[in-house]
Amino acid sequence: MGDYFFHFAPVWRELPAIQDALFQTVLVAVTSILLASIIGTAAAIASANGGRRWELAVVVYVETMRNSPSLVKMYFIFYGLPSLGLFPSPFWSGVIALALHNGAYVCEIMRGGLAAVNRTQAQAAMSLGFGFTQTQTIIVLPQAIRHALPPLTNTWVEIVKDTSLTSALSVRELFYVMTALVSSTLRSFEILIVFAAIYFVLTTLLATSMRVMELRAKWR
Amino acid sequence: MLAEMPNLVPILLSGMQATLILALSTILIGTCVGTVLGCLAVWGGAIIRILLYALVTIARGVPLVVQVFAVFFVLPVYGIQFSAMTSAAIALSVFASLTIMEIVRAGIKAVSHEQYQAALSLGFSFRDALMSIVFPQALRIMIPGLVNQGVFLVKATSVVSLFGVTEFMFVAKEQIERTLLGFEIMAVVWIMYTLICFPLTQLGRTLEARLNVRGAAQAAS
Amino acid sequence: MIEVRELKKSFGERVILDQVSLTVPQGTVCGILGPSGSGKSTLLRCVNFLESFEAGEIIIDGEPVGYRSVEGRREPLPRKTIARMRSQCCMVFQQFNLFAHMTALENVSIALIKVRKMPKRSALEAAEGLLGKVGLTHRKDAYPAFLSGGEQQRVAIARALAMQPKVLLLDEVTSALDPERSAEVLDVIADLSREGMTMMMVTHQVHFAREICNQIIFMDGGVIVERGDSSMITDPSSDRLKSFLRHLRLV
Repeated sequence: MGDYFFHFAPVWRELPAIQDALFQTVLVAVTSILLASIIGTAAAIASANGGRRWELAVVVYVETMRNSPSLVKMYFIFYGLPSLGLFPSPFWSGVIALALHNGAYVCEIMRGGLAAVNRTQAQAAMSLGFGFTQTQTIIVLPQAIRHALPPLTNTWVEIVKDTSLTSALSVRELFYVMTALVSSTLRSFEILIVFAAIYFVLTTLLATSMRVMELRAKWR
Repeated sequence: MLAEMPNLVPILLSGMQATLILALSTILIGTCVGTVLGCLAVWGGAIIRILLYALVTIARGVPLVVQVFAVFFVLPVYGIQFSAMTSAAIALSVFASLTIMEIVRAGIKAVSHEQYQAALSLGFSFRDALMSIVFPQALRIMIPGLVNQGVFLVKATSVVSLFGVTEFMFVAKEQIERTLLGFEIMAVVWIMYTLICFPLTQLGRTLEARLNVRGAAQAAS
Repeated sequence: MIEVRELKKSFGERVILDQVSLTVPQGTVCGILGPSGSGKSTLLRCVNFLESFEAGEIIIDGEPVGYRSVEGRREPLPRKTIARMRSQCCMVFQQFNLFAHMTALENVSIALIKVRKMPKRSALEAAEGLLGKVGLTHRKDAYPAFLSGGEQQRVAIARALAMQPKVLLLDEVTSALDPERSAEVLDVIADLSREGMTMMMVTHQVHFAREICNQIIFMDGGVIVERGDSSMITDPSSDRLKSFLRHLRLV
C-alpha cells in the first residue's frame, strides 16, 4: 500500500480540458439554480395567494418532484420526450430536470419564508397604493428570501453537486471529463483528488458567499 | 408498448428490488455506524471530533458520484476488489454513516446538558444516564431527520447506475436501449419511485410537525 | 370629504358592520370610539379597501371606493384604480408595520418612487423633509428594529404623509406605546389637525379625541350608537356610551 507514487504531471497536462469542464459545470449549475429559484418562488407565491386550486396544483407539483431521484427526470426528458417529437439537448435535459426537481425544494423553503413575513407588511404596502406585483417584489419577497437564505443555500449546494449527474447524458462537465481522464491517464487517485477538490471549492465558495450575504443584511 | 409489457414489468420489478435491497442495507449500516460516530462526535476526544467534522464536511461538499467513484476506482489501486454491488453498498454506507452521524450528534446536543446532569445528581451512572435519560429524548428529536434521510438515500442509490450497478435506473436504461420505449418506461419508473418514497415523505413530515408542536408546547409551558 | 353610506359587512353569519353612515367634511377630524369588536377598525379598513364589503358605498371626494355600479350591477373596480384610491387615503397601523428591510428614509420614500414614479432624488428630498417634520432627521438611516416604538410610529406617519393623502386613517396608533412615547406621536397628530388634514382616527385616548376631533362617533356591535361633537364625551346620552366611559373611568 505504501508503494503508490503520486504523479500529478499527467493531470496538469489536461488542464485545458479541465477548464472547459469546469465552465460547463458552472454553466449547468448557474442556469439550473436560476430556473429552480424562479419556478420554486413562483410556485410558493401562487400557493400562498392563488386560492385553493393553485394550492392543490403546487402540492401535486412538489410531491411529483421530490419523491423520485433527479436522474429519473433527466432520463424522462432526454429519452422520453422524443416519443412526443421533442428532442431536447443533453444540456437542456439536465438543466430542466435539475430545475424542476429542485424547484420543488425551493418552493417548500420559500413557502416557509413567505409565512415568516408578517401579513401586515403586505397590508401596509397596499395601503400606500402598491399593486400586487409591487407588494410581492419590493416588500414581501426580499424579507422572505432573508428568512429562507440558510435552507436555500443548502438547496443551491445540492444543485451544484447534482450537476455531476448530467454526465449520464454525456454533458461534458467535470465528472464526465473526470471519468474520461481516468481511462486515458490511468492516474485515478490523482484525478480523484483534483476533481474532488474542485467540487469542494465550488460548493464551499457558494455556501460561504451566501453566508456573508446573510450576515451583511443589516435589518432583522 | 402493450406487447412489451409482459416482458418489461418483471424486469423493472427486479431492478426495483435491487434498489430496495441496496437502500435498506445502506440505511441499516448507516444508522448503526452513524449512531456510533454520532456519540464519538459528542463525547470523543478533540482529534476524533475534528477528524469526523472534516469527513462530514467533505461528504457534504463533494458530489455523491465522486465519492462512489473513489470506492470504485481507488480501492482497486490498493488491490482491494469487490463486486459492483458491494462497492456501491460500501460507498453509499460511508456517505449514509457520515450524514446520519450529524443527525445523531444534533439530536444528542438538543437534549439539554441539565437533563444529563440531573440524572447524574440522582446517582445514575454515565451509562444509565445516557440509556434512560439522554437517548430516549434524543431519539424523539432524531426520528424525523432519520426518516427524511432514509428517503434521501433511497433516491440517492440511483447514482450508482452510472457505475454499471444493476439497480432500478440501470435496468430502466437498459430496457430503454432495447425497446426504445423511453417515455413509457421512465413514466413507470417515476411512478414506482414515487410509490416507495411518498409514504415515507408524508411520515417524515407528520413526525416533524408533531415534534414541532410538542416542542412549542414545551417551550410555552 | 369622506362619505360612508349604509355600509354593511359580515363574516359568514356574524355581522361586523350594519348600516353605518357618516360624513367627514374636508379638513375635519372624526374620532371613532368603541369597545373592541365593535367594528371600528374594520370600518377604517373598509375606507382603505383593505377589507371588502357587501353593501353600501364609500365615497372620497366624489370617487367611489372599491366598487362601481355598471348597469345597476355592483362590481369591483379595476386593480389599478383600487391601488390609486388606496394611496390617496393612507393608513397608519397600531403595529406601525414599517418595512423591516428598509431604513427610515427608504420607508418614507419607497412609495413615492414605486407608486408615484417620482425621480429618486426628489423622492429622497421629500422624505427627508417629512422625517424632519416628525422630528426624526437624525434617525433617517436606522432600520425599524433599531427604532423605539414612538419613533417607528412617527416614521409610519411620515410614510403616509409622503403620499399627500386626501385623508389620513389612524388605527389605534398609540395603543402599542407607553404614555411617554404616545405623547410624542399625539403631538404630531395634533399638528396635522391644525394644518387642516382630514383624518379618521380609531382611538382609546378619549381625552385626546375630545381635544382635536370635530366629530366623535361611538360604535358598538357594528352600529353607530351615538354621534356628536366633543361635548358628547362629557355629556353622553346613550346608556351604552355612558357604561363605556364609566369603564374607562371617565365619568
